[in-house]
Amino acid sequence: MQIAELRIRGFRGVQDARIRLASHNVLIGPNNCGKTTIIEAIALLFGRDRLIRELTEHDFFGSDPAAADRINIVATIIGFAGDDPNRHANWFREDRAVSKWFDPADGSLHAARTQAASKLACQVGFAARFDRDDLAVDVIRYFHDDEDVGDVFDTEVVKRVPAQLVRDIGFFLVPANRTWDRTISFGSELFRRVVSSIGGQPAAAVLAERGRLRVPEQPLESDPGLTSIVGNVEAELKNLLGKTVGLKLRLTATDSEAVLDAVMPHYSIENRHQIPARRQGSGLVSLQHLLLLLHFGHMRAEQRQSFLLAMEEPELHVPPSLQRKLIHRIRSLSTQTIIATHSPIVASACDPTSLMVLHNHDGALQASKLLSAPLPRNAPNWKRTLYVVRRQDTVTALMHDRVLVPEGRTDFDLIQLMVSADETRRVTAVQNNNQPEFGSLVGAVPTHDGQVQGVFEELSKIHHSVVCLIDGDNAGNGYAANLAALQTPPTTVLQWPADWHIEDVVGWIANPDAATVLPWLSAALGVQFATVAAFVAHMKTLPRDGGAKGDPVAYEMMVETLADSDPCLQRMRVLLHRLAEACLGGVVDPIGWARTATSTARTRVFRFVP
Amino acid sequence: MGANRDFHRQNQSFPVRPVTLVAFTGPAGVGKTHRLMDATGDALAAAPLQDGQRVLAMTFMHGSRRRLDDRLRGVRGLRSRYVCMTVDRFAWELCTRWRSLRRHEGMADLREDQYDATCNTAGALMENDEVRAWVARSYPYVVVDEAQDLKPQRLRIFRALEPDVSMLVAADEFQCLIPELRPNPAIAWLNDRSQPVALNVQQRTDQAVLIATAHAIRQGQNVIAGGNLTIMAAPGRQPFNLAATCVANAIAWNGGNDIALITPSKAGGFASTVVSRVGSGPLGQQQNGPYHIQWEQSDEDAAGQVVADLNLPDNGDVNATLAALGTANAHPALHMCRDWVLHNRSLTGQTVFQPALVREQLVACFRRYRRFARSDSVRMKAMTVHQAKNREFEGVIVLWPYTVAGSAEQQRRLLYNAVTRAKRWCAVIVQNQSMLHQPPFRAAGATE
Repeated sequence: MQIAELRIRGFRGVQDARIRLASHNVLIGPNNCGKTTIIEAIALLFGRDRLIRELTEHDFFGSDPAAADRINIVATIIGFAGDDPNRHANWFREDRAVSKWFDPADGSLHAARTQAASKLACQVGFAARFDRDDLAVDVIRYFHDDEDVGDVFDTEVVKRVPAQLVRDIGFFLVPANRTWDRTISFGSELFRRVVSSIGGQPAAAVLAERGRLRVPEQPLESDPGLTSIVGNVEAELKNLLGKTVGLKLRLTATDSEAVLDAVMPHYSIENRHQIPARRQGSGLVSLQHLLLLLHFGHMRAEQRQSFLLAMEEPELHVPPSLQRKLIHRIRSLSTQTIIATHSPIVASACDPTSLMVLHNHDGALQASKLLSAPLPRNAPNWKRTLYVVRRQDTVTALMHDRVLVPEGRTDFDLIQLMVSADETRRVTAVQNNNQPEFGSLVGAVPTHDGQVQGVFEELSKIHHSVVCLIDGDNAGNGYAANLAALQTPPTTVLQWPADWHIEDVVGWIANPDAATVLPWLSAALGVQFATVAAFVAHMKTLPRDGGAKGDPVAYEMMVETLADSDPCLQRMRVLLHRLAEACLGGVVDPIGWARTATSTARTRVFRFVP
Repeated sequence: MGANRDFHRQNQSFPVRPVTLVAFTGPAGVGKTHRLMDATGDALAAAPLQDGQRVLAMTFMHGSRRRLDDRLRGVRGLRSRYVCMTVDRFAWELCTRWRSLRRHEGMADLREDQYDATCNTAGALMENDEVRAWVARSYPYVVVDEAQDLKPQRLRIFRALEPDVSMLVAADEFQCLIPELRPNPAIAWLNDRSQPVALNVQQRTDQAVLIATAHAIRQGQNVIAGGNLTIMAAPGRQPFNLAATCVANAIAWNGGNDIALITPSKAGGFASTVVSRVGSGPLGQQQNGPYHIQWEQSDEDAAGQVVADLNLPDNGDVNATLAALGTANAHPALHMCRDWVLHNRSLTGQTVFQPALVREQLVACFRRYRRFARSDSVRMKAMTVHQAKNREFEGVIVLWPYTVAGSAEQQRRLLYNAVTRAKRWCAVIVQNQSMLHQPPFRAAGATE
């Protein structure tokens, strides 16, 4: 079984969202867009009751639920073997679900089987309400028959989902907060479930241990340091109660439960000393839970039961190569995975058709797939670059609130370097208070082949706010005109000054302190620059002709050198700041930019004013 | 241990069982319901219920539903794995659960008070293979009592469901009081699809005269008094003292702890006047009585007085409404209504409850209360023939006024249904002498 679609209403930061899920999903997006909310919504539906007991007003959208407000989460479940209700009588009968049919082609749900490809489905819902008299949250897990079911708390004809059926789905969650040092111990419900499903229960060993704890060879109360205290206590008790009351000091409460509870895993790395799990490095601690789950998943896979795993930030505590390995291992064992991540490595470890970019606008959450269908073999190079070769950079850019599509690699490289140089030289956060920061707000994409329009069209399908940056030359004017003429044009197009390219902008950065930086640059690059113009020309010349165009090492040296000069660093910051303002958009035209004649009603084209 | 069981439970599909239709027919009091319960027990012994399966028992009226529920509790091997509801309720729930399919098939939307339309739609749904299989998976056994009362819309449901489940049905054509159902469609269906077992050994009463009288009415013959069956005329005008005296004497003479006064019609006030006269003072030479005979009320009647007396605020203010509903010795239905108001305030936050809506809800609460409440143990009750259906009492007094309408056939059935409620004694009192010379008391065409 797996979840085909999830509908969330009124839960935390999500007022309304409808998300199609595939077998394997990776969710990315800026902070607070709702990645965790989606996973927790699934956990409310199919996870442990403990999560539900912790619901409060803040879990309702708006944090102040009125009497009639509801959290409502509905999942459409498919994957019933044979798509025959008769084979799944514990799901489809009078006191359980009504059968529905899901069309995988367009994701629609029907009351009857409309075609051969339809898959048997049922809908399970979770609803919560806040009782303003009791100040408590009421919840119900029910079978969702249709959208007109009305207020689930007020209807007589509602069927609840029994706990056993919920457990049959086999949903497990690995949250970001991984402080389980006792996961591999009987205090952990997960561990007990794993042990009991193998059919093991180390009863004999536990009872033997219990026996030893009840009658220890060297009881603590006989220890010379403690005998006098114990003796005093016993004497006092005898006085008070008139009977002999013996005080014995035992480890644990000497029943099996206490023994099981007290079990603490120890690990020895490469056969060295055994050290308790919680003292190990965070990687091992955080992996414990995951590995136990994987084992559980393996067992369920063997018994052909479903295993749904939701995981936040698999990149935590683990090096990149292991991240990829983990992801692939998890996927091979699970019926369905839902991974939320901030790591471009993890995001690109999966195929682009299972990657979803989330965007939350005032409660409306949208999830768009990076690629709706796999790239055909004859896809143009720039598409391959975007989605395959440089996927990691594309994904990183999409994780930001704004995406910047420059004309070429050079703009991308140089801007990234400037951001880095700026951030490392930040003394305090006093500068830039309340002003948008380019590095955090905007993600740049390494456009290939000058395909600004193509990249814009692709990415604006997925991301709500894509801004284009083009050169100031005629070709650039042409691009600007084409972009403005699109059916859904960009709201903002940025252009360098007339006939300027990014290299000229770098020259503008160097200008205020030319006298100082030119010698530095000459020394760093091994070429004599008498003027800024010469330097700019050098940047525009290809390496085979003795220049530095496209040379990453040279770029890094240049930017770092310039950043070492305060006036130049200031200029760099001004540039980044202006770019950020322009990308942010707003009613008023951003400072430092002039609106050009190419602007239309829907597209504002701004030229940089040096 | 855990693993294997999980696996099997997960992939549960129920084994195929032979599906059958078993029917019991016969006159009142031959133990049809009893045989129905026995047959259910036998079927369960042969093919027990699986995990999650239950027996579904249905009947038409709420009163019968409660009694059927009591009987089901005693079926061996069943324990509490059964659901007992009225056909209308079952139809309503089915239509609600399958709302999207109804829409998909273009069926009209339904309101909760459209009982016939709901049943008809439920029948249409039941004709859908998937819906039927879904019902059969949960309810491999379906028990139907009083099937003769099923109008075509309700019968449609059972007709459609029958092939996929084991159905056990009890019916007696002669006890159907709905003139439109002649010939009786349910009986025709039973005869068509099964070999009904005709029962004829009287179980309710061992009083030979009562048995003979019931038989005579059924056959359209003359009704002859004797033994514990008395028939008399009580002519006279308001306040019908003679009739009241007959009633009081019958009670005094026969005694008993469980007496019902049954009338086919309350029109004209004959029965109500007699009952109140019997309750207001001693009567006749022996000065028998007074006897307090309590009328069983319909939901509307029961609610009516209470609703009328209720002092709801015009502005619908919730606190005033709650106060009005929360009087100390209030009827339980008032408490239910008060809970409804509180519940709705909690669910929706509304603070204004229109009096008309509250009154409507109060009637619904009375209805619900009667669905589930055990009837009060009152020694003497008065009711209509419809209300008396499928019940039995130690002693029965039948009050037969002028105003009984309907064909001779209909009247015979009414009389039959009334007289066959008695276990030990029965007194029939008609409003005038000449009525005794006509049907239902005499064969058609007989003279005296």
